[in-house]
Amino acid sequence: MTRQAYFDELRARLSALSPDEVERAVSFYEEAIEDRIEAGLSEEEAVAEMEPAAEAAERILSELPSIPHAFAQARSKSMPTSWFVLGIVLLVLGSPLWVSLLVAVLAVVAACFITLFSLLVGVWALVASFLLGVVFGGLGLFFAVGADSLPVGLVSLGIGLAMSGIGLFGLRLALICSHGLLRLTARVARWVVSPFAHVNEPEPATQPVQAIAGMGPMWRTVNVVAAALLVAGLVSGVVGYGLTGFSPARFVQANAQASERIGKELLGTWGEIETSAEVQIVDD
Amino acid sequence: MDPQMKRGFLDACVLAAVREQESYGYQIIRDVPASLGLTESTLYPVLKRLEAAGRIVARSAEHNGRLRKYYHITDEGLAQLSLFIAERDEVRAIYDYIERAAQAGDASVEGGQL
Repeated sequence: MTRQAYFDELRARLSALSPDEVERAVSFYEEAIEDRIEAGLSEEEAVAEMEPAAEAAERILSELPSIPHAFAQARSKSMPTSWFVLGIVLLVLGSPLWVSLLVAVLAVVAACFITLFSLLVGVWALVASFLLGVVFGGLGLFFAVGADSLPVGLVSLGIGLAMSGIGLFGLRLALICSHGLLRLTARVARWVVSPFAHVNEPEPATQPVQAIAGMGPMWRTVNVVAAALLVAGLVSGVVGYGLTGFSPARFVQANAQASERIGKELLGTWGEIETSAEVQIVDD
Repeated sequence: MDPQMKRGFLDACVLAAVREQESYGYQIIRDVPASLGLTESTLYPVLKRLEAAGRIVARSAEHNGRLRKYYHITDEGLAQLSLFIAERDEVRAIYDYIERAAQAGDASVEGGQL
């Protein structure tokens, strides 16, 4: 076999690839044959040392992901054109079946992504709501003191502080969870894409996880603050409860009174706003 | 050698062949151990894969009035190679285990016959 015949067959079998790819492969084999001739072999012998063009082409195509690989095989000139046409006809005739299957698969994939995303949002919403505890506790204290009920205010502040403390502790947990969820999402994405394109596996990234899970100086500070909030919350709550003499009945009563007063006060403010609006209208 | 085992060694051998200085296809095939049975058809996808992963770089240079492609290892390739070498002890431990198990098996068979 002459080298020209070898290259022609190789070109034909690789015809599904881009012209650049084909030339790259052919020039690689060209170089291999030239180097052997230079080493003293005849052209015939050099070509004979190469693997058959069919095998060489198959090895190059087998590096492609599965779906482009199947197409490349179907389109290579080694397969009769009539078969290729038959394949297309079957593909079109079977479309009611495979299109619905494809839609189902896409829906499952989308559901996976949405689930992972909702979990992520859920984790952070939970942490955020806990962190906001201190704001609501503060508001509770403000209104309860306004309504002349310090014990109720202190207890509500205490609950708020403790919630924020727990939220701060949870921050790290949420970060680890998000990291895991993101990695899972990336894995699902790679799995979905893999039949169509090569995706390089990322290097096992154990470093960031360790950085988050380990006790860096930042996390130590966060934990100390969280613990302080928790303790302050407990103290505030116990003091508030203590002001009612640790009596559940009295606390419930105080709470009901405070609620009533705050309710009235808020309604009163609302009434004032309404009244002032009316006054303004009258003024006009 | 077992084809699956060969596959694992292939990348590392090609990286090793272009480590010291740049090399070209035919030279790489002659340099790596013959037991690998490396041919152009097996080498081509490996080179392509290594180049795409940034572990080797390729350049074309003239040689006797024609173009020849030369390959050389990158820093990333060097890192990959040292990772492979670092696995040597693990591989050796596995071999030791297999060997010990096989010898123990032989001994028990002999014992049974006696």
